[in-house]
Amino acid sequence: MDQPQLWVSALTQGSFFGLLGLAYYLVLIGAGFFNIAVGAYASLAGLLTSWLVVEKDFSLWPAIAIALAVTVVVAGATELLVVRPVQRRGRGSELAALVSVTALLFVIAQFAGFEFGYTTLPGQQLLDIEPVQIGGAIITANALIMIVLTFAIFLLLAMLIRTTRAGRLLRAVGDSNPVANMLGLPVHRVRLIAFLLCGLLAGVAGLLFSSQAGVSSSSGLGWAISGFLAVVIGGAGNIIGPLIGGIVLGMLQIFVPYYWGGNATNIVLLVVAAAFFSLRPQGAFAQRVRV
Amino acid sequence: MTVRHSKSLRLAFLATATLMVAACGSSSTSKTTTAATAAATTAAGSTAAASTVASTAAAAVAGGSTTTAASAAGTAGGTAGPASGKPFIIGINADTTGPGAPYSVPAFKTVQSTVDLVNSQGGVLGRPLKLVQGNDESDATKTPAVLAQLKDKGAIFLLSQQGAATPNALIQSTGLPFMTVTGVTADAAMPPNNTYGFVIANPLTQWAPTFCASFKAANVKKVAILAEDSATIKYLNGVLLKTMNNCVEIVAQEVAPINSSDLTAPISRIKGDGADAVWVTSSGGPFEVLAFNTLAQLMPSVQKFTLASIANEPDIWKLANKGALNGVVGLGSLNDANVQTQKLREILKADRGADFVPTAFDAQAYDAVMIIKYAIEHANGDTSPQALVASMETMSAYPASFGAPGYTLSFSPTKHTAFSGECGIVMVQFDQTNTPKAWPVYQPSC
Repeated sequence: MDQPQLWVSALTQGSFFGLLGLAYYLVLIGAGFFNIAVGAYASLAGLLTSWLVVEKDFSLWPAIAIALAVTVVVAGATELLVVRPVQRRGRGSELAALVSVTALLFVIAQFAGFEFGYTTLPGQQLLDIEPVQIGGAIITANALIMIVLTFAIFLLLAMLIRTTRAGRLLRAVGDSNPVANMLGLPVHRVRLIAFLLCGLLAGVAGLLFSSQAGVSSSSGLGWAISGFLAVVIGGAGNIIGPLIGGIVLGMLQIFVPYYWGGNATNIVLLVVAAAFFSLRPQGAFAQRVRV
Repeated sequence: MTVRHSKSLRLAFLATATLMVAACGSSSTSKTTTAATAAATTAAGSTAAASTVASTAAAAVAGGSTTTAASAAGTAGGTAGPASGKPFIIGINADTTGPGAPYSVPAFKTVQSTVDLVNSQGGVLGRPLKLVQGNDESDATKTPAVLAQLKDKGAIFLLSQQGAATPNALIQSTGLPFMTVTGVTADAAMPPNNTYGFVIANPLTQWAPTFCASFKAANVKKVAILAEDSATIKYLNGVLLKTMNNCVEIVAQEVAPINSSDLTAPISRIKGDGADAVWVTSSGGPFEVLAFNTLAQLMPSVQKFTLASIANEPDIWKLANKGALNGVVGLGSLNDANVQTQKLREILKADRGADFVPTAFDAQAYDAVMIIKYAIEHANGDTSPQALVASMETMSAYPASFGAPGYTLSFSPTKHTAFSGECGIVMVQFDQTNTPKAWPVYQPSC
């Protein structure tokens, strides 16, 4: 663990997983629901950006703006056209909504493959600068942006959720939709905002991370699992949970193969996930409830 | 986490676990003939087009019992102008979806293009070729049904462009001539039970000697291997290392998941092992690019080798960072000094646009169709399996559209593997623009 390059990789990976975890977290606290389609949002944003730049000769920033806008719209549509109607018909059934959203993950992936091709597209570098060397580690611009932006987003959202009315509304609605309804809170609007924010965060994460190894229509599934594991490890009791979970996951992804070889990674991940789920299902950061 | 969230978590965990199982299942279905093998097959391809398609269209039917390259090309024509009449049906098992799709789709497209090209220029004996496609999605359990379906649709000849090697017994059971387009396992053409099987690629057994000679030419004595964790690569490395262990010292073998998004850890492990060269063995795609991007950062001065695939994946080259592939050496397929390769390049550019970059997949696909054309013409339109097989067995010194200049393919009654020497393989090296060129240091001789 004395190699700075490994830490840079772990932090980059961890930041990505953390951002995805945060996207899960927002819908979880805002709508009380695990939105598995997070991975699909991320791959859609990365893929659409690359497709517009590579295939349609768009400039980078307009392409990013379009991709993020599309991703946010898709996330909003998930709530309005999939989750809400399914939950209404199923009297709030989480299982039916979860199955529907899982199906949506595959629908988005297939649509993206059909529209943008099934091959991997190169991720886009946000800044055209050479990698910099800091203390024996080489850091690319995107990795640097990913790490800095992740911490900034977590800090900002932590403040918003804890100190603003919107944040309190988000938590109140997520704790119990029916009670929030009885209290006259704008449940539908709050849920929709949670989904929109989720789409935006996942989109940002996807387009930043896709420069690592490219992005394809099938990337979303793996990313959905990684983000979910970040929440499992970190817990959803505190906004910092997904970040901690993401970084732990990133460290496992990097240091386990370094010390024990590539074959050990999946085994260790499975053991850690199973351990958390069985021994501490609330994750590292559980919600404290005053009785 | 609240009780409600815990319930959500349990549900989501079940869903995610199911997804993980599904993901694992889908990624483990590839078999012995994947992108890497397909890429290598390109090194062994051949082209019947001694002349351009235009000239073949105008040529007359030849009638000798043994046909040289020139006459093979000459037999190509029927009458000039569009073909008409009852079509000759070619069945192709092409994985347009599934694990084999990345390399099957390009080859399948070129098979289609070549069929169209032949038809537009007079067809075969004045009659058109017609392509019917099946798709077993690299799933060997579906192959029998797909082949039976193709036969039912009237196919007189079967082509295989798939991820799973087709067993000899299955090929024999079809009772139709069967040619592997890009596969490098020569089993389908080896006795016993090889009446109907034909292979045009250089076999896997030639790769290890070629790499040994390449390492020697580059003065490489210690090699570190970075491999993707897949059944295909495990099989290929097993075969290759049996020979390569005798010519170089393997100082490290690192394995990483095929869908890795960071290879810093395995490459950091390799870094301290004192290797003269790092050899990346994967079925290509993002894994390979990620490997060379990371190697360019962490081990910039070490010589890099690749197995095969990336040389045949032009779409993937742009995934690499600027100059990250510079200097990488691997098994390739196309050598612009080969006149047939130049002709193929022109034909495919005319069909697909000036930016199209042909690869071995295209060369072998093109050759496969032209060889079938030759077989039908040489059989004087007799489409019985026996006549077509006998016709195939007369093909001699057929000028390949890939490999070294002058590389040819031949079949005979005792030889259903078309390669005529190791120079069907072309060693290539990427330049600063991430584009492969013939490697000046070493090329296999014929």
